[in-house]
Amino acid sequence: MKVTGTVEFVDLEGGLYRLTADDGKRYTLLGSRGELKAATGKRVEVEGALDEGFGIGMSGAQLRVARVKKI
Amino acid sequence: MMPPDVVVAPRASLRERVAVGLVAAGALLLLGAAGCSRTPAPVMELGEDDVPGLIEVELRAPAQVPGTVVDQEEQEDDLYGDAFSSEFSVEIRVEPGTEAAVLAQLRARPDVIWAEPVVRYQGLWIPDDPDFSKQWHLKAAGAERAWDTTRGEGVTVAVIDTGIYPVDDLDPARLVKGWNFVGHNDDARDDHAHGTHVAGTIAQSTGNGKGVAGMAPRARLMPIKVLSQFGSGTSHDIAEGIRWAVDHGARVLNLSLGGGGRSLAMESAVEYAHRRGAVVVCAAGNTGSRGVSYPAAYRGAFAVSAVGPQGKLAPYSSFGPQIAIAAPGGDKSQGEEAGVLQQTLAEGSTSEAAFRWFQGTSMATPHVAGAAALVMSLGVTSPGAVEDLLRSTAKAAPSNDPERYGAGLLDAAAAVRRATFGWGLWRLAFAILGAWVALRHARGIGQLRAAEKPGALFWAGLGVGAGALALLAPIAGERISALSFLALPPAAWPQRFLVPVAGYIGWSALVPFALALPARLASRPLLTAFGGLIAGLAFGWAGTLLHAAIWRTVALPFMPGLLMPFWLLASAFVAWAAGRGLLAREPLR
Repeated sequence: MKVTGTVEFVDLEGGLYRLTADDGKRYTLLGSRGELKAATGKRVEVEGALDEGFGIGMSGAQLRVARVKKI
Repeated sequence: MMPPDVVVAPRASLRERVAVGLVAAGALLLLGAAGCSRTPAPVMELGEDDVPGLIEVELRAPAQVPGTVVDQEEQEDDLYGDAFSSEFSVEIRVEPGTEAAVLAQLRARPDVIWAEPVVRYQGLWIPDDPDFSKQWHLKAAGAERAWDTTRGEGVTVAVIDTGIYPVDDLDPARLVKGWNFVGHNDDARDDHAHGTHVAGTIAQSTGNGKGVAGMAPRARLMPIKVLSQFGSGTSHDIAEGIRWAVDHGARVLNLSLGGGGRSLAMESAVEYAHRRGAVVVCAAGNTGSRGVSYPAAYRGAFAVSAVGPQGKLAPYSSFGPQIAIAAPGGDKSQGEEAGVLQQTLAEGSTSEAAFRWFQGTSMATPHVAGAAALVMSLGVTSPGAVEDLLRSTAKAAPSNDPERYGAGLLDAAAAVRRATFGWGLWRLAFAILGAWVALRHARGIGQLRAAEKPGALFWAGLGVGAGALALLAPIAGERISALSFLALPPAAWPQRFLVPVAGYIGWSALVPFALALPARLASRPLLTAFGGLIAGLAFGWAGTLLHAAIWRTVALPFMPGLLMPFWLLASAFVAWAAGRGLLAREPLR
């Protein structure tokens, strides 16, 4: 799936990256911290897959990131 | 016709003994209470027990003080629900060697009510970890006041997380073998930072002059890696991790993880763990709204919400009807140092360590897991009893809102105090009652004359059997490591110090019966010498078993939970009968 939105850093659990999609949905992003850090505060298109699993975020849907493209 | 040697009526004699016993117990209680006291005498002068460079000052109003303030919470706010005081207490750090001059200067000031050196006071152990003073969360959770009695020795806590990296402020001797369910190997080292931080809250090396402290520093840590380097994992791996940890000896499971999807595999694993005698402590979730995540919402899990330094629910914490208790998880909206401080991996590194303030319900959870380890190290092996103890001793929350705070705010010290002091007195009372009934019966049917009174050894045996030494635990239990067994009744020693299945030796009538039989066969005098000692021990043991049956404090391997109270009640009766059998004038032929 592809989702466009804005990446933000959330100071929870040692630091999480969250995508707020254009439709208002929020996803905890699972991926390279370096890549996500570089995308923080920017509008991006994230390509990845919904992860129905469990994790440290515990704050909603998780999106396993395959690719981040700045737009 | 009364025999001429009867000078004291039997009941009066026994009453006198009971009174002596109660007075002795009261004295022990007072001694212990003194051991727990944190209030130093206002006229205290410099001495050998002083903590170098630390001075405590009581001010009439906020004012400037010399040195660096290291403990200002009572001055700044009403920390964790303590009643507001019109006085202002400040702990300051000054250059070691200058304490006397600073004390003289402070005492001369009209705005100073009193000033005195901070001492290692009758047992309150102050760890020398330099950044311990920044760990408001450990103090709020009651760890500091619990450490004089126990530090979690003998209990294994599984950290089911991203793994544990052996950072230098974790004692490698406390790390036991774990498993990596992500990589399918035995390398369960952390490659994220989350699991190492959580592990630090449970059992960071404490009193080692380095870094920070942990809730139960002598507990063992079992790393179970079920989350990847991104902090995510599958229900299958988590369920497998739970089962593996329990099967390999973990008695507390810390699950600082969650998700919204219900998994039957994980639910079944949580129930399995609980049934096998493990406390399963889980994070409520970080949605900031109503709805507890899984596994915290499963039956058998002990769900933890997070509070900040003032004891109020942190804005990110999930809540709901499953919440069992609230614990410090940090609230960094109040500043970085309102987070939970532990050592972990530096950001982006898989080997470099750093001290970091984290916040989240994941950080609240290990405070509870650590408290559970402290309680379990005192011989409380039933997970239900541990949970009840933590709930029933929780401090009042800022509001009566069980969905947000469960039973209230975690207070590990209160739980430890009840498991030693409170329960110790009950065991003693049951033992004395049992002895009274037995003595009365023996006299009633003429097996003993009224003048034949139990000697000092009888009462000593009764006190030991009932675990009355636990009343001394806050004074001596952890100050001298070799005496840590004092905090447990003897019935709990085999399970605690040998292997779990050895619990059948202690939590049965085996020991009193085995000792009573040769004593019963021996010649007189039975009640004042060796026989008296054994009789007292048997009554004390019976009191301990009766208490364990009523409070349901014990779980034994292979014993179904429903049968446990009946086993203990039957054992208590046999132990009592063993003692009663020794209350006879003539030896058994």
